[in-house]
Amino acid sequence: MKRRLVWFVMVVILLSLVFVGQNAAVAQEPKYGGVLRWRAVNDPPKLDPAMATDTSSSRNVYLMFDMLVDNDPDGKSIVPRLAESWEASPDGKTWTFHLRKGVKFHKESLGKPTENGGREVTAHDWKYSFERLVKVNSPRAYFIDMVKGYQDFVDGKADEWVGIKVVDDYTLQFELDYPFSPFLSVLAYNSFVVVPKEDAEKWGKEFNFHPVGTGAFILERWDHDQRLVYRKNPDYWKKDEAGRQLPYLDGIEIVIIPDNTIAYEEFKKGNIDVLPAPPDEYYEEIKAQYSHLLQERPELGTYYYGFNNSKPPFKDNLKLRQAFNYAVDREAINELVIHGRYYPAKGILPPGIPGYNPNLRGYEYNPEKAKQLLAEAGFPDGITVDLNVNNDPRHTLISEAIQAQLKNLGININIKVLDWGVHLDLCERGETQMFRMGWVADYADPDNFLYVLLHSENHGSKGNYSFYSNPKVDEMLAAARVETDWDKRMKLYQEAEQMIVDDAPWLFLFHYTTSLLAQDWLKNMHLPAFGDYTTPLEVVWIEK
Amino acid sequence: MAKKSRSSGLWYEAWLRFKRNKLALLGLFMAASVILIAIFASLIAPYDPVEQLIWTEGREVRLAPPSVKHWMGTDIYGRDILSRIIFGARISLQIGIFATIVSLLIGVPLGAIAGYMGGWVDDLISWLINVVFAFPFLLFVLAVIAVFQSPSLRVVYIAIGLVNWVGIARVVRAQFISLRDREFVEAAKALGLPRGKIIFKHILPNALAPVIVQATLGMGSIIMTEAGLAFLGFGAQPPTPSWGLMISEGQKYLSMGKWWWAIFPGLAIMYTVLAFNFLGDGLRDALDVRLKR
Repeated sequence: MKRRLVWFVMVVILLSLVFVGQNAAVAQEPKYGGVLRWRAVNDPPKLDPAMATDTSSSRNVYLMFDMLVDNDPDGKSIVPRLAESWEASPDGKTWTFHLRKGVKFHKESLGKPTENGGREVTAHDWKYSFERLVKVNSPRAYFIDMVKGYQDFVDGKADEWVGIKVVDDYTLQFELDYPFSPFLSVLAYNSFVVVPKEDAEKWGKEFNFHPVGTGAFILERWDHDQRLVYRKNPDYWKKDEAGRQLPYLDGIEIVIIPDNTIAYEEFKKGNIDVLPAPPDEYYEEIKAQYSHLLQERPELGTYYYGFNNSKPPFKDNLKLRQAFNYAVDREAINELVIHGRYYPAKGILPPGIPGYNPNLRGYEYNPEKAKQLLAEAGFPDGITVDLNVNNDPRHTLISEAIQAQLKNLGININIKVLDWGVHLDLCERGETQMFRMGWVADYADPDNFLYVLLHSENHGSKGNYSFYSNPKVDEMLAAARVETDWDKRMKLYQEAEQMIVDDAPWLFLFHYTTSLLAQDWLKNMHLPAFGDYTTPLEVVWIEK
Repeated sequence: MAKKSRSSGLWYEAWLRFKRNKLALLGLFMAASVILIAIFASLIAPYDPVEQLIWTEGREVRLAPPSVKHWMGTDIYGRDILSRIIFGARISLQIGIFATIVSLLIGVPLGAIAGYMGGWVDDLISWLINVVFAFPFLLFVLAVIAVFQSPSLRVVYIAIGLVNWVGIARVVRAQFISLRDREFVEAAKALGLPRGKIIFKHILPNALAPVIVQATLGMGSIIMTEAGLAFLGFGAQPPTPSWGLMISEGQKYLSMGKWWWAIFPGLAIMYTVLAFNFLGDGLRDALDVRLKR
């Protein structure tokens, strides 16, 4: 009896080894064909990359357009896209990009031939595309306002953007007013793509509804509030490692389903291939039943409660601010209230951003210490503070938990739930005591967090809503902006972040995660740190 | 013959009519029960309505279904839903009563002046009433709350009152128009009484019955409005145990099968609104003499 069992186990192990081996062999070989259906919550507000600033627009822009450079999936470095290589001058003020040859614009769009006729992209197109950002008032053009001649071109004093030079057909050069180290990361933003002049000029503002780019997919149909249908670009420039033409898929459908319950049911039925950001209310069920389909990782974003450092009671009261930080049990809130969908934060920079410091000294949950600090801060009998929160179920959920935890120490929190517009306005004007805020990276560089959110130059609407200022920190952040040595820069940022965390201008809370559910017949699908909406689809294939 | 003179009094007759109306009595009973629960909330409720038990008792009390310990289950923080519903009665009634008072304070004088004076004063006030009427109710309330930039219960009942007065003003105005030319008013005028005294001392008491009906019926809709505002996030602020807020927090968990968080407060709203509607209908039937004749 025992012997037979042993035999049986051995056979099973052998068989499974054979099958695993086969599977691995099959998985190597990509398959062509098929359409991938991706769920969207709403109609994309903008398809013109110059205007796209939200994630639902970006999802579509990434399918149709290409930037010079790209973020690698882990957000740790910048990789080539339409530029094959680049170099910066020793003073950090001149950047030269060597363009990929043989990249072609879409030959057709929405079922009709395009004006450009599918011609090759040259450096002239890049110059045109960057100048177009200013001409059409792109809300993100200011990201590169350090490129020489920006202001003159904006003011109409110059008829070209002199800092952008076409050296030859395949060489593009930027001249900056001052060395700006995050420049390369900024160029990976979805507005800095190449568009064909012929089509952009023909359509003008209507280019938004007739987008033409160089990307892996071509827009075929846009049924507003229902779906966007893309089909593959047969002339796409990119090949896989084995030299096979990309993309593998015949097309993409962005299916618009506003309701979470319906979207989830459709996914379960297999009518949807990808469900980005699966809803909270199903998260526990998903973890239990579909964990093999779930991809999840830290996103480049931070969730915090800012203290108003320019007004009492938090102004000049370090111990009070620290007391709050010791009083909150981030792990328990994350686990019990928001289904473990965030990561507890020690500081400002999220994991995945260059310069992230895993050894940062933060604040652990320590109610005793909090109580002691509260007394030392001058509030032995407790204190009452207003907390402004914008109206969103998840935010109020978290705020109520924090309210209850602080209450144990005698801290009374008055929660004020406000409309986003009112909330932002009050934060910008500094008319708060304490407020909820979040920040997601525009570009993968610590500058985008530390400089924007905590440099004293940016008080108010520019991003420093907590009105924090520390001359030493200011100095370091400014120095890091122009430092061209990568390691030195990162060191500066890490030191600055530690200094800020010690000053406790915020109640540090969480880092976001990004997640998606993908059917098991989708292969080679990898969720990037930048968020579900940036997932590259040209390398995905369907194995049914 | 004191007894006989009492039996012929308007209010006594109304009570006799009211008593015969079963639905009205039911309404009275239901409304009284809500009021009693609100008054004695702290004695009845088994738990502190804002105490979050998960931090001390852990996962078992998180979204726990109805049980012997928690008759209506618990929410995600381990707060006892029954206790929150009991205390929620206070919030609903408080809003209902204070918003009604604000409506009366605005609606009664404006309606009275419009109805008594007539002419351009009536035109002006009627125009104002029509303007407020023409506006979507909830939108107007939301706009008023937005002006205050700081939601709280007080802001909510002021906002509702500022919009809700028009119904009362209309009723009062109509009463005054029909009463202003009666003999007793003529007599008061002939005696040379000041206008204010005629309006408030002589006509108003005679116009009171429909105002009471209107105000009672209004309670139901005010409680609904408060729940709607809280649901949208612009009413009572957390952790206040407002029924609308509870539905708003709990509705996402309905689809997860955790129905108790949203369903029980929904039933509580239904019960209370029905109570005041039955009561108001009964009062109207009882007080509207013309209808019964």
